Amino acid sequence: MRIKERKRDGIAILELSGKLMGGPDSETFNQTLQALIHEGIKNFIVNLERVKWVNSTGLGILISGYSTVRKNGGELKLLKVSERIENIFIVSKLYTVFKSFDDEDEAVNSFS
Amino acid sequence: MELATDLSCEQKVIDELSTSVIEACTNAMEHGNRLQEDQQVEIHFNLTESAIEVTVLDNGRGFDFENWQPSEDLMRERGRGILIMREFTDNLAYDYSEDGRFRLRLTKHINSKP
Repeated sequence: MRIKERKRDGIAILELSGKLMGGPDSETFNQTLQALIHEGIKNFIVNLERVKWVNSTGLGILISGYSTVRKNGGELKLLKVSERIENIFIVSKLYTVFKSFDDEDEAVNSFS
Repeated sequence: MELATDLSCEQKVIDELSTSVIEACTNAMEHGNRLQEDQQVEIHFNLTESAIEVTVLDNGRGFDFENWQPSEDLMRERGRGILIMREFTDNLAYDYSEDGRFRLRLTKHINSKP
């Protein structure tokens, strides 16, 4: 998995690509979040458009990130979840936890 | 995953089967073989006119898939693999091979593209 990060209106937008399936992905994602939190960022949008596969371990990575951000007083929301990945969120009932958007503007505005 | 794309069936079926096989192999490596590099996971694919059956064998003691119940805690970071396999396959069965390995069978019905 690769992470490309940028900031917009004080929100960190993390564009993930590749496979989110555990292994070193967990550390990479966590370190990225921690570094941005250290910079003072509270709110995050995770763009999953370029993520091809997520497995149950990958879901755990997103949950861990969600908890980390919430503990710091912020929110983590998802952007452009493909049908394949959405299907996994539905069976695991995680769609009730993560707020998800198809449009970046809409996601950014949801924080205000 | 790439193998399944050659089949003439709906993408959703391929995605659900692929995700289930990934979960089965992850379980076999982590819980079955306990991540020991000298232990192998064996996978067999059997394609019929109406279904794909995938068999995953590992060297572990196995797991009671039928009686396992998922935790109610939505924020748990692990423990969703079996749930995903159950939901995404049409049948999930397990037994032991003749040489004593744990054998998980995942069956997914396939339907031709309209």
